[in-house]
Amino acid sequence: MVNIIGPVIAAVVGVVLAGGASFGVIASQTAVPPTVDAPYVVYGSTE
Amino acid sequence: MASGRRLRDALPALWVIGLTLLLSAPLLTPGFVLHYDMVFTPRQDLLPGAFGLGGGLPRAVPQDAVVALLELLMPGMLLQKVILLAIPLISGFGMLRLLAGAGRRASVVAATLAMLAPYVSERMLQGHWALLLAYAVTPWALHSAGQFRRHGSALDGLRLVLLVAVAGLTPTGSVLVTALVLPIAVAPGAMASVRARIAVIAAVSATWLPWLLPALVHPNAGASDGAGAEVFALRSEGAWGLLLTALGTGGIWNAEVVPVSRTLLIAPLVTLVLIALAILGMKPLLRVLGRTATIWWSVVAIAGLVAAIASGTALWAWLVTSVPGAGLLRDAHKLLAPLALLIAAAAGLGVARLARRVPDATGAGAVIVAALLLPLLLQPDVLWGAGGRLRPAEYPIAWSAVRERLGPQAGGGDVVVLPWTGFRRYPWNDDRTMLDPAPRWLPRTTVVADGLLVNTPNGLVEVSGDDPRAAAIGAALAADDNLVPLLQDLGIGWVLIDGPATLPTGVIPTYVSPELVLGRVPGPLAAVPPADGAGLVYAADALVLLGLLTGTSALVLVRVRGGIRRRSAKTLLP
Repeated sequence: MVNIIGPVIAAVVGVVLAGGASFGVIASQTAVPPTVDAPYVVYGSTE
Repeated sequence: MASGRRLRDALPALWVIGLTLLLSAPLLTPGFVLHYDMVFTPRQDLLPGAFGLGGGLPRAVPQDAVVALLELLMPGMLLQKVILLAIPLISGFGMLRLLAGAGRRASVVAATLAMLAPYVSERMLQGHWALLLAYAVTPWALHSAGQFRRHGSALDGLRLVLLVAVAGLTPTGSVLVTALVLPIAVAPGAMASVRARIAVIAAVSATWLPWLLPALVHPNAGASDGAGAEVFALRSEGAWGLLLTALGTGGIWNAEVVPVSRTLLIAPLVTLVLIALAILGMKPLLRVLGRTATIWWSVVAIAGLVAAIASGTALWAWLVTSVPGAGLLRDAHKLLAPLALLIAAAAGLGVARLARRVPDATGAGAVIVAALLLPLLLQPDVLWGAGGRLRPAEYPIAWSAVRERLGPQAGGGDVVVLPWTGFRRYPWNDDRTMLDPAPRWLPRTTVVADGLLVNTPNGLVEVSGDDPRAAAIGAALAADDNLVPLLQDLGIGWVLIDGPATLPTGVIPTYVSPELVLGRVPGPLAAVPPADGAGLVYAADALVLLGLLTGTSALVLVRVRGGIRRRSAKTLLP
């Protein structure tokens, strides 16, 4: 019994991580700086 | 009695000076006026980009080189203030000079209309000071062209060449003023010898070289993004449409820089009145300037008007993208400069003609006073620093610190600025949109995003830039690639963070402040080869500069000697 608890926990955590990552809820890149091209300023408006 | 006459003679000049202060006085307080394309810094360096060899097509060329040279003589802050005062002063006094033969009333009204034209206020808010300098010297260039035509004097020819050179701080100014004044000076019927005319044509053509040569040797020579033609087309400022907008000399593509007074119903009504007055003034203009000058000026003005109105069409877009060099014309509102000055001159003469028809002196005076005051009262938002929109601001001390750290002792490598956007809004500049100041602040070549993002009714449009290094960095950022190897390959040794971004992974911070962060790209950097044809461009620029300095010295010498002779003659008189 004790021997299967580890694989079950690993499987559940794996499914949660995989599901979360595929829907963009979590990412493995939290330690990487955010992209540097996010903000921009427009030159003007013709509207 | 004599002092009263002297005062009357001085009134037009005093009016021009007063109007200049009414327009520009708030800009004279300490700091830099930073708005859209207008960026000055305390000390700009003479980098390859200033000669049109920095990567992109030469747009602010030779403007940046001239600013860098002048900042060897005076600080950038003072230089900007001199320029901002010079634009209204030179245009106002130029109109007084051009129409001197028509009387004080006509010339002072014309000067007022030239200084307050919507063309000027919109271009000033867009930050196009060099184009406005070209606009300001145009009346003087017209005067010199007329004098050269009538008398064939070498000095008038030389004066004309120097004025075209001042207008040539930007390519558009160069083309516009040359197209307007050169045919007047040299067309058949001119008194100058054929040799003198050829010399003037050659010298004027030489003033084009500083921007023309780098454009020709650029890898993207002649290319222009088709999106630019549509985005930068003339824009109607109200329900009255493009024709009335253009006749009113407004219609710049950017709605953000249009004064509110231009969008009110009074704007087209004033335009109609001015056009009627200009038509009334065409006959006296023919008398004052002569047939050739007046007719050619009208032809160029109408050509500019037609081109500006046609700028939104598919034909115009094809022209701008297909004909080499026609990309210069994509911001079509610029082409209205000759029209703005023609309307000012002719309407000034029209007002004076109208005043002469008024039987009593008081009524005639009232017509002139109304013509002088109405342009002020109807557009208060262009006075006093564009109604407060133009105000000097002080750069944070961090800019000086970064400049110091990038001195020669810091080792090689160019700079790239992030976040990847060519324009900025800083809280210390009241969040005004302004061009990234880094290329003019830093003592080494600085790569910035050169694509132009514009809001249009169809959404956000990007007009692509033309610097290959900027294109590579933009693509890498879009793909979220590791920047360091690319920066090493491009010879970029420094990353400046100027806004909400962080240093790319692997870049080592060397200076950190709340406003700016400077980082060093690790590892060896590739050498940046000099731009194609760099030697040719530098040699041509040196020759043109030498020629202009010699010409200016000759003019000054002749003037000084003339002054000495006049004083000697006076003392010899009994």
